[in-house]
Amino acid sequence: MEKAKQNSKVLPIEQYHTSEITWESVAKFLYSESLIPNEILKDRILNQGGAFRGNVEIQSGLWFAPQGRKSIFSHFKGVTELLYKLNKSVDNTNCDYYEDKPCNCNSDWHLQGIRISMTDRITGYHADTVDAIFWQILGTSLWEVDQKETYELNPGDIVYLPTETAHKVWGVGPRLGLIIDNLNTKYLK
Amino acid sequence: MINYDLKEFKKIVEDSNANFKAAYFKNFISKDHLPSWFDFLNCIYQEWQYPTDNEMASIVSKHNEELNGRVIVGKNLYFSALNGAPDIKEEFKKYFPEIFKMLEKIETESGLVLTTSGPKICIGPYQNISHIDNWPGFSLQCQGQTTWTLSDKPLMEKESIEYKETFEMNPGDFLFFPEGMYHQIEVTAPRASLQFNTHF
Repeated sequence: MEKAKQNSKVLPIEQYHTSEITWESVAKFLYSESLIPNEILKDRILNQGGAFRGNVEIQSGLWFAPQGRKSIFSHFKGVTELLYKLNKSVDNTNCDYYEDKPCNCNSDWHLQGIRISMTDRITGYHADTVDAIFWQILGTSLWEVDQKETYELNPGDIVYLPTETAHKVWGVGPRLGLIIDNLNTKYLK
Repeated sequence: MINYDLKEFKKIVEDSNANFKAAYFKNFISKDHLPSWFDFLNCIYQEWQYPTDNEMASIVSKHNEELNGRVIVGKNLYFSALNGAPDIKEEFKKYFPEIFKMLEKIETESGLVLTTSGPKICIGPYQNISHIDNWPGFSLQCQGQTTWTLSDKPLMEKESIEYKETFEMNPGDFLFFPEGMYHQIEVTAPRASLQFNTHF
């Protein structure tokens, strides 16, 4: 991973971190997030179009982006351990970032959010402004990078994407993944 | 798989129908044989891929719901699939093979024919208005919990109600209600269920 970061190379790793997360826990998480009012999300959706339910952004009818971060730790087993592993044995679960405030812990990797997809929706080419890791929790997703290579991620796999790496994502069947951002990305500093 | 004697099951259902009462079968099917959350979500995923029938979509929109492929999307993350499927029996068999076998077993051993009206998922909180169907119905709770309130009159007509029962449905529970019986469901946790009709 360090070498990939230094060389700004995409790095897929098979079976990096497995978990016992189930679709039942996903349904329960969506249910609880749908009960949380979110005026900021509401305003954004009303301006940009789309749909929402409580704290959940909905695109293409069946693509869900719950906005809650802190609640992910308690709903999904294995997330805390994954971050601990990525942050070289630093536990950052109490970082202010998870309360929608600036990071106050200075560790690298912070979870950005869960993505739940039950559609064949394609997330078109785009690039993120931070180094990012995507952890495939359930189902299968396909990542095309720089219009060249395609990586298939299955449960337990991760892919590391350096800042500004153009990528397109789609999937096969229902799927769940976690986006993790490096808040100490060089580009930001 | 089925935890009831099916001849006895048929008799209870027929008596309930004749007496205009609901029949509740706790743990009718063992939990190991129930469709999983993935089975339901995969069904929604597959059904979404079909072309949307614009005429049906127009009718659905009058009820403040949307049709995408063969999936109706309602308020609060409510989904129902297999809408407009030309051969619903075959499609059902593909998505829910164990339950299809259960329907065959019920038909063979009791003579009662159950036809499916498709899977329903409520991920958000949901409560519908007390209403009737024009057929005798069954609901099989597969995942989560649902509270069913059945009555002979609409729930809002409190004073004229003579029959009213409430059932807490858990995975594996099966509920029968006669044609014309008012029913209201309340969902307080994510729920996935299968609905069936019959005739006498």
